[in-house]
Formats: sequence, structure tokens, C-alpha cells
Amino acid sequence: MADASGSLITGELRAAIGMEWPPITSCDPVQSSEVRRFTQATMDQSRIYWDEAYARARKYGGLTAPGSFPITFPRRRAPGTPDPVIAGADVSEADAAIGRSGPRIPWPPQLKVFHAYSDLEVYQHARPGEYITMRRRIVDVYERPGRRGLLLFVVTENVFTNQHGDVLCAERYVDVGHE
Amino acid sequence: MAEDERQALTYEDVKIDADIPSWSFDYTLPIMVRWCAAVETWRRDHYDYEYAVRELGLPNAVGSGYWTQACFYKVLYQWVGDEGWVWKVSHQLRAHLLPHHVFTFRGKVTAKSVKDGLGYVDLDIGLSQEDGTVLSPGHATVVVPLRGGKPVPYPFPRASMTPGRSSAQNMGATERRV
Repeated sequence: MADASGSLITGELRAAIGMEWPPITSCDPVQSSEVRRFTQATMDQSRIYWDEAYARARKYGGLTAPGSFPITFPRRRAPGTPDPVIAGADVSEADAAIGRSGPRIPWPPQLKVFHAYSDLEVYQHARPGEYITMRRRIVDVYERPGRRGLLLFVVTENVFTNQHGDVLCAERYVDVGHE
Repeated sequence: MAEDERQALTYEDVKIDADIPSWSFDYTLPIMVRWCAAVETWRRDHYDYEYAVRELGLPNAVGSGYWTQACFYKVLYQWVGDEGWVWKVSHQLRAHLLPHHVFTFRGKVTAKSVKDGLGYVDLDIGLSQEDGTVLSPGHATVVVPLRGGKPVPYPFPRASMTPGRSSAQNMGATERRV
């Protein structure tokens, strides 16, 4: 339910703008088997992802991973961390798992939260052997009227680098919450 | 045609209003589950039917937005080829991705321009299902070489993300700021 002013934007949420999470580095380096599983899941048979000789002859100089691969890679659960499956994670708990550590987005508890928009910019592909780090911060919070009430949007900006500090890609990610 | 036999796409090949090759297939629960396993996402609404229906009131488990993004990237990359670059991909999730539909990823060229000897091509992109419902509209910008021109640099130079709101999120109604 919206507050007395009719807004879903709580003081806690307003104060969260600018909040940064601790950087998350992938627990493993990129491996060709992970790239294989990713490209099979998108039915992508491009040879730069699996044919070493082919990829080496291109600008990549060797095997590479799809442009959006870094986005999901650092979020994989590290050994020794709590198991969200055993914990019976709901949607919001899964969001916390994405962060792996650090603060949670203070969504009003009555809202159901879904991924609404994403802007991706890609500068280079990840390569096998690279560790990927995600830096994430909240850059905006706003609301709009929807067909069945107010919609609450939280915008995060996520930047992905390899261990050399090269920026691989960046995204502006928008979640929407509704009652 | 094998990838390495394919003619590289150049700026001159690109026509405004032209469609890029589309990609259609039956979207199924195994496709959804395979994505979850591949990227190790544990959001239960992406694979757990009972949870999605009983706890969240959804009609079924729903597909992942990041899967949609990865598929847009694939379709665009396969169009521009190894000599081009898929620079920007923005998409909005307008409706749930539900299994048992035929999905089609599409793109249409909306504008093209030359800057610093490189060809920049803007596209409207979209994921729709067999009844014409657009599940995920969006925009993309790809970069291709001019015919006989310099190669697209790799890594592609980074500029700060365009300030302000997501281009995809601007496809909507009036909003109230904080």
C-alpha cells in the first residue's frame, strides 16, 4: 500500500540512491565450459566462442564469450556461501543472492518485484581465464501510475571489469515493483 | 554458408527500414531451465511452476530478462559478424515470457550515420510471440566498417553511459520523480 502521500517511495528507499554494493568478483575465472553452457542456452553457435583457430584469426586473438556474458558471471554462488535453493529463496531473497553481500534494496515488502528494463553497452568480450568484477550502485528511484496502481522503479548501474581493470560492459538495470 | 565464408557486413550494405534476419523457435520450459542452470540463477519464478503460480499468482514460470538480452545480442552479432560490433542493446520487459509459445526475435534498421570513419546503425528490436504480442521491445546500436574503410576498433572505446534514464524506460508514461 502506498503511504499517506500516495507514494511508494519510502524514506529508506530515497536514502538508498547513491548506495553502492561492495564489488563482487567471480569466484572462478571464465572457463570455456561456462561459455559453452551459456551459448547453448541461447542457441548461439558462433565460432568465436568455441573454435580456437577461428577465434585466434579474428580481432579477439582467441576464444571469447558473448557480450552480455559478464553480467551473470560474477553472481554465481561461491563455495562456502549460503545455498539459496536449500533456503527456499523467494524472489527478493534471490535478489540478495545476486548481491552476495552488502545491503539489500529496501523494497516496500508488499511489492512483487520484476526486471523491467535494461540498457547494455559492450566494449569488449570476456576471455577464458579472466576474473570478472561487478560494481553496482543505485542511481535512481521513481514511480509511475500503472493500470492497477502505482509502479515503483529502482535503477542500478552495473559496471563489469576484468582483473586488468578493462571495462567489458556496463548496464543500467531497472527493476519494477507493484502490489 | 560457413561464418568464415560470409561477406562482412559494411555500412553501404545497410538499408534504412530493412529487417535483419529474424529468429523463431518454440519457447519451452526446458529452454528456460537450461538458461537458469547455465547462469546459475535461483530466482524460483524462472523455473518453479508451483511457486510461480501459487505464491506469485503468475500463469506459469516466467522467462529471464537476461536471457532475452543475451538472445538480442546473439541475433545482432550474427547480423554484423566478426568485423562489426554490437555496441548498445536496450530492452524493456513488457510482458511475461511464458512457455508454450513461438518466440521471434526481430530487428529493423531505423537510422544510419558515419562518424570518424565508422558506420553507426540504429535499430528497433523486439521479441514477440505467435499472436503478435510484443513481449520485449527495444533499441540497439551496432557499428560496422565502411566498404574499404578502417576496421571497427577492438576493444570498442568506452564513453560514459548516456546520462539520464534508460532509453528503454523512456518508452512509457509520465513518471513521478523522487
